[in-house]
Amino acid sequence: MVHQKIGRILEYPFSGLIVFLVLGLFVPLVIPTYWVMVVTEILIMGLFATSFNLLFGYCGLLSFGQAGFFGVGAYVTALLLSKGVGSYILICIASITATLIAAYFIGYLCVRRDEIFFAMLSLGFGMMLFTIAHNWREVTGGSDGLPLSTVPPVDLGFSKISLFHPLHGYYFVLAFVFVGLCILQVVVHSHFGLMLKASRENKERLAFSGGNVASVRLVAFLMAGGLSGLAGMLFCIFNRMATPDMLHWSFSAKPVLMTILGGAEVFWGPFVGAVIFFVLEQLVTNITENWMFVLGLLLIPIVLFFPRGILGTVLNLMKSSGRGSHGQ
Amino acid sequence: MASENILEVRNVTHRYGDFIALKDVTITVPEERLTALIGPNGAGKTTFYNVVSGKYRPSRGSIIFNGVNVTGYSPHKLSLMGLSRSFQITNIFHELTVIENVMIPIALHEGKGFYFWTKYRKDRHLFNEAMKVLSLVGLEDVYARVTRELSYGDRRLVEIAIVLAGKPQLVLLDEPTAGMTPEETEKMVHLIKNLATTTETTFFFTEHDMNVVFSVAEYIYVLHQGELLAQGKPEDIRADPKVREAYLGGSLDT
Repeated sequence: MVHQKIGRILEYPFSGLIVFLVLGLFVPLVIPTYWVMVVTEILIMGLFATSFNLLFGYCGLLSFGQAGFFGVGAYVTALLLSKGVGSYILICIASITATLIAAYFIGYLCVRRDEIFFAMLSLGFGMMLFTIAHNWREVTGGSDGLPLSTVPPVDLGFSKISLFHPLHGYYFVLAFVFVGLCILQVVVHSHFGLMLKASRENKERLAFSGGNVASVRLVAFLMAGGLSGLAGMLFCIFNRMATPDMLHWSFSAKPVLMTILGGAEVFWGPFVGAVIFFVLEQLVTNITENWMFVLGLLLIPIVLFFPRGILGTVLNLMKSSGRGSHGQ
Repeated sequence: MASENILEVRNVTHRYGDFIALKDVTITVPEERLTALIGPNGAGKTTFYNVVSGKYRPSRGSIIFNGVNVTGYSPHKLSLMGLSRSFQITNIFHELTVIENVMIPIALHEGKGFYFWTKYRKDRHLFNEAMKVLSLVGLEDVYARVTRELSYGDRRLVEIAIVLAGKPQLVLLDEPTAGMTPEETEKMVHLIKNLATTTETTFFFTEHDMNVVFSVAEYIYVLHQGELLAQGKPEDIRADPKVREAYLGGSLDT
């Protein structure tokens, strides 16, 4: 009975967003300051992973260069902040626009291929962006990146709020991440979202049904890129720097790992994966330095026995147990 | 210029490297008629469909659809213009539900493919249109099922529903009864005949089962080794010695 109810609530598309908002608003009030910082990073990486999964889970395209867009967002933010730009709205628009431009040119070429070829193309372009960030010293600061001595306060009109306070920084990030997740949630349930699933299932049938496969994919690529850029902007503000590692392919592997952990077939899978990834990292690094070894130990059984990921498997169990009790 | 022929294929040649799959083929399909394309295995029937439906660009020749030269047009463009097709191997969205399979072409033909903020599940108009199409092929009771779970025959019907969903003017059916049981074949033949008389769609189909061809087709083209061997009414084709020879006598006696 209880399972059944939970299953039904879980199927309601926007219940996830409500749970997210409630937890997001109240959790930081009851945890230590250090953990507020951890949860801030979870929010940012959760948005990054969820935008990655628009391509991976919904279109069946494994992007291995998503960090490139994350990095473009971060560098544009760092450049504008270091030049003294104080308006976060302007910074947000500029970061996303720059990311969209990069994503348009890269996506235009990538979406014409599938599977390993798409993955390798996106990896190649991601590494090119990394090289630009790493070697164009005059603008990007080379391997040191662009450290920011300070970040300006947020002007709300009636008062100015300093982002140096961890809780303020947290709510600032939460607001952007919530908007980003709302956009993704609406898109995956839209007519366009149906076309994404169609392109994943059978691109030939989609084409012969009147759908332009390359255009559908390119728009998804732009959305995923733009929101990855937004995550990069937040990461730069949160860490007060942009560094080339943010564009490195090993950084592109993070959303992949988080998505596999949580489950690519469900909308909240990548986000749950990000939560597990960071919480576990904190707990494990308290005991041992070999965090990556433990992560590997966790990933192997998931890939082998629970390919739907942790959230995907749990939701599936709830649904089937709900159906089972219904049958009796 | 209004054209009586919905499809005119003029002098089409198609090569795969050195192999000539179609050689100077000219075929016209008049509106609202059940036309069949037959020929032994390897005659070039599927290549012909792939060229007409935009999957391949012909090496030479032109394709006129509804009076417009559409040679080299992409499949999605041709589909939006009203040329739809099925495949020999069932080509549907296996992991989606039956109604989603049909909603996809309808939404695309209604220009809703890039609606980002509207929920497709709440689109009553889309749902009703999809149910109408499903009732044409008799699948309205299983609309909520995932297509993978359906029987083979029903999955073939899902493809027919997808093909009809955009209200096409011309439908190419590539061996619609391939792999079906005799009962399923009979059902499919009845369906095609019925659709041809009740809708304004023109059907052009290939078929290996000669019983089906002679009971359904009003006009028949015969391909043999990439060339047009004969054309005519079913009784003429049945009597044509060249066609009998191409099929080695056997299967035309049914």
